[in-house]
This record gives sequence, C-alpha cells and structure tokens, in this order.
Amino acid sequence: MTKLMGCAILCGSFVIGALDVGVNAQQPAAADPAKQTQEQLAKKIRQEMRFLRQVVDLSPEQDQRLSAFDVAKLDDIRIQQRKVAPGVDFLGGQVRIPSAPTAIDPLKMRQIERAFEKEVAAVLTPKQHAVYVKEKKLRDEFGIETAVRGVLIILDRQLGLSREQRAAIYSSLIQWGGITSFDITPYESNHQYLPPIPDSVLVEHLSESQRTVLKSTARIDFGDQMQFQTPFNGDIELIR
Amino acid sequence: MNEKKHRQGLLKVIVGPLGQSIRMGVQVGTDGCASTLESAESELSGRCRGADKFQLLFDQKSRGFRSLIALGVLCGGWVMEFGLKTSLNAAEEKDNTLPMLKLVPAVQAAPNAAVGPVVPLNQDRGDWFESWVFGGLSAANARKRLENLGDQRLVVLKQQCGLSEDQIKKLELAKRGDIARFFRQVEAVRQKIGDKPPDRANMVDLKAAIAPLQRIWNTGLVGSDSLFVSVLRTLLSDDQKELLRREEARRSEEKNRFHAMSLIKMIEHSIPLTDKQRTKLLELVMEETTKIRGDSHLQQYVSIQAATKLSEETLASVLDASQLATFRQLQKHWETNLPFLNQMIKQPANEAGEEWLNVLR
Repeated sequence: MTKLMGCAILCGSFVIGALDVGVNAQQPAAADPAKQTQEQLAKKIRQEMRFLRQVVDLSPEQDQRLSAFDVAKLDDIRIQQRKVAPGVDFLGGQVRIPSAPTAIDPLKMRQIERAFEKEVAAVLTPKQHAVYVKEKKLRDEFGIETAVRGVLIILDRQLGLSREQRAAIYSSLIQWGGITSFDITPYESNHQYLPPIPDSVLVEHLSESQRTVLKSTARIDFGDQMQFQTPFNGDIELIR
Repeated sequence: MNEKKHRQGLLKVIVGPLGQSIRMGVQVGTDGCASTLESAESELSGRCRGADKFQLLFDQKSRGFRSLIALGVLCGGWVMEFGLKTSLNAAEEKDNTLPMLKLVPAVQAAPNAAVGPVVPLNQDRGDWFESWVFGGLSAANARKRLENLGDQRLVVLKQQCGLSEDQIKKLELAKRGDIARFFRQVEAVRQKIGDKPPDRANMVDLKAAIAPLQRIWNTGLVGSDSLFVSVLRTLLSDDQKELLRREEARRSEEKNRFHAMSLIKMIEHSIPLTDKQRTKLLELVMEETTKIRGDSHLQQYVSIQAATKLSEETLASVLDASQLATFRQLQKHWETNLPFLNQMIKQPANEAGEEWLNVLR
C-alpha cells in the first residue's frame, strides 16, 4: 500500500514538475553573463577608440580597421578565470562578496588592452603612434595622481600629516604603483578604516604616535564592491 | 489528522525538489545552464556546472539519449536535495542564529584574498555585540583605539597651532569625557538588549538599537555632540584660530582638487580629452568651485555643480564642437538632478567626524 502510494506521489510530482517546466519555458531567458562581460569589454574598447580619434587624426582606412577590432574574436585571451572575490573585513571576520556578473576582470581587461595596443601600433604611422602613446601615458598619470591624492586626503585626516610627510608619502605611493583608482566615499564617512596601503609604503614616513594609530586601524579595500552610486557618477556613452 | 499533516509534508518535500530536478533535467537535454562551460564555471552553482558538463559531453547525441540523462539527473537531484534539506533542517534546529554572513576568521581567509594588503586585525574581537558596535574589535581594544586617535589629534593640534600645557590638559579631559560617555551609552544599550544573540526574531530590533552606537563609533568620537570639539571651539586664541583656519583651507583646497580631478576622469568616459584640454578644463572647474560654498564631505557635488555652471562660451575655448555637444548633454543630465544636488550641498556638516576639522565654521 505504502509502495503504491509512493508511486502515485512520484507520478504526480512528474506531472507537476512537467507543468512547471512548461511555465518556465515561456519565461524569457536570463541574460548570458559571458555575453554581458563581452559587451562591457567592447564598451571599453569603443571608449579607447574615441580617445584615439581625439588625439590622432585617423584616416578613414585606419579608423575602419581599428573599429573592426572585435573582442569576441580574441580566443587567445578568453581564458578561463575563476572570479575570486576580494576578502573584506566585516564584523570581525572576512566576508567574500562575489563580483557582479558584468564586472570586468582586470587581468582580462589588461590582456584586451594589450591586444588593442598591438593592433593600434600596426595600423598607425610611427609619428601618430608616438602621439597616441604620449597622450595615453599622460592620461594614465592623471588617473593615478587623482587616486593618490584621494588616498592622501584620507591618510591626512586620520594621521594628521605634515607638509613634508604628505610630499614623502605622495612620492612613495606613486613609486609603489598599487593605486590606480580610488573611491573616497566609504572612507570619508568612516573614521575607522584606511585604504589597504602596505606598511612598507607608509611606516618610514610616520612618527611614533602616527604609527600607533596606523597599527590599530583596519585597512580595507572596498574596491568596486561598494561603489556608492549617485545620480551623477554614471557615464553616458555617446559615440561620435 | 497528524497522519494527514505528515503526508502533506512528505508530498511537499518530494514534489518541490522533483519539480526543480525535472526543470534542470530538461535544461540539460535542450538548452544547458549556460552557453559554455567556461562561463558556467565562474558564474553558476555547483549543480548547474554538473549539468553543463553533461550538456558538453552529450551535445552530439540523440534527444532520446538526452532524455535518459535528464531522468538520471532528475533522480540524482532529488536524492541530493532531499539529503541537503534534511541536514539543513537539522542544523537549523540546532542553531537558530541567522546564517546571514558566514564569517571566516581573518587569519584563515587572508592567504587567498585577491586584494593583497588587507590587514586583518588579529586581536580579541570580543563577543558579537562588541564586534558589531566596534567594527570587529573588543571593547578593550576599541577603547585603546579611541585613546590613540585622541592622542594623535592632540599631537596634530599642538603642531598646527601650538597648544599650551593648560589647553592640552583641558582637551585631554574632554577626550576622556567623550570616551567615558560613549562607553556608558554602549553599556546602556547592552543592558537594554540583554545577552540574547541575534536571531530572526530580534534582528531588526538589535540593528535599530546598535545603529546609533555604530554611527558614533564611525565618527571617531568627534561628531556633532563631541565634548572635545566644544572645548576646542572655546579654548583657542584668535591667533590659534587663524592657524587652524589656514590648515582647514589647505585641506579644503586639496579635497576640491581631488573631486574636480575625479569629475574630469568621469567626464572622460564620454568625452576623450587631450592633456592640454584636461588641464584647462580642470582649471575651469576649480575656478568655478571656489565660488560655491559646500560642506567638506560634499565637495564631490560641489565640483559637479561647478561643471554644470560652465558656460558654452567658456567651454568653447577648450573643447571642439563635437566635444562641446556631448558636454552639453552631460550638463543636462546633471541638471536634471540639480534639486538633489542642492539639497545635498545645503546639508549641515555630517556625522562622520569632520567637525573637528571644521571647528571654526
């Protein structure tokens, strides 16, 4: 009797499950995360193309050839990469918040940038290429300077740096090269955290009392996990 | 009656997972969970990954064969899910605390962390209450940290405006008063909520009770009601105030520059700039920023407002026609949020401990 009942339940559940599948099939398919990432990468390349057009006078042929650069075709850089979420100190332990499916893997992005640079070098004349490289370097330096200034503001607020200390730590941070972008917001609203700068970059420039404060402060990388979105920081993509 | 309830429960347990398993099995046979194993490896759960591997293995086989596989997965899924549910229920009965965040000890997690220099606080973290209030520190360590922060503030003030011994003593007293008052508040909240650890039932109430303490902690005890700040305001001579004012102006200028530079970086997502244009645009934004008065923690909005105010004629000296058109679109985008922007800029100094730097306002 029990076996019979079990069979009946099993068959019933097949029917219910099948109906469930039918309903599910009518729902639109979820966006493919791999495709979304691909689109994000393509957007970055379009951005770089706009920069290239701004700093170099491209001929129509050059423009056409570089515009055809397709991230989807770069099989060699579509490598398998498991996304390891950065550990974040929280409530006395470390939590791992997985990155959004559309977040661009920095390593993958770097590889695509290199492939694009290779293509640019092949298409541009040496003179054009020199101009592009110079402008790109200046743009990157501007980005790094911005980030380092932000970090310095937070360090200054917490540790009360002198003019000499600020100058020394600024050079030290630039030389270290570990900061390329910085979101100041989470640190501005909390006096208990500092950005994750290693001791080797800071300690030699600090006084004893500053070192004591540094030692008791949690250094956390909020990264892009806690980007504070405002109505202003979304970029508008306008293709020229 | 009891038997009926038992049957209903059994039916629920069997039907739920089976429905899901069938769904998954059919997906294995037709669509698969994701387009490739490569993307699925990183994005999907363990069970879906398994299903995707089936999809890859039997992609060329007939649909009949796929159905067989689907049936296999179905049964496997049901058995696994039933086992999992049973063990979860058992675990839930044992421990009613909320499994919201699985905390890993910092020392254990650090070696695999993707961000290199996350510095774990290898210290006594206290009980859950202390850990919540003091951001992962025990009460003893939190007290030590607050004392260190206060001492450092005194050192900085002494350097910046040459405090006398008497002034230092008074500020020292105010610092200790702030710490003592804060810990009295902490103790009062602890008494109020008792020793019961957080669970589903009391989580909201606990959060509400602890949030004000967390806010005070985050300010480093130099918020709007700080004794230290009040004493400092009345204690300084005119000369000392002037020295401090200069220091504030320097800090404000640095923040303005940082936010203006960040804004230029953001603009460059839409409008690529040459180095010459970047430098000139930064100058223009900085010039306009000095005309707007805002609280120091809101300077990012001040920079945006400054960029919104840049006239077409001024911009035309820096940008080409196409860039100018795009900049106008950006300005329109910002202008739509102007009410929010104005509201933010008009807000009083925040609770995030900026007051001791803005003591003269």
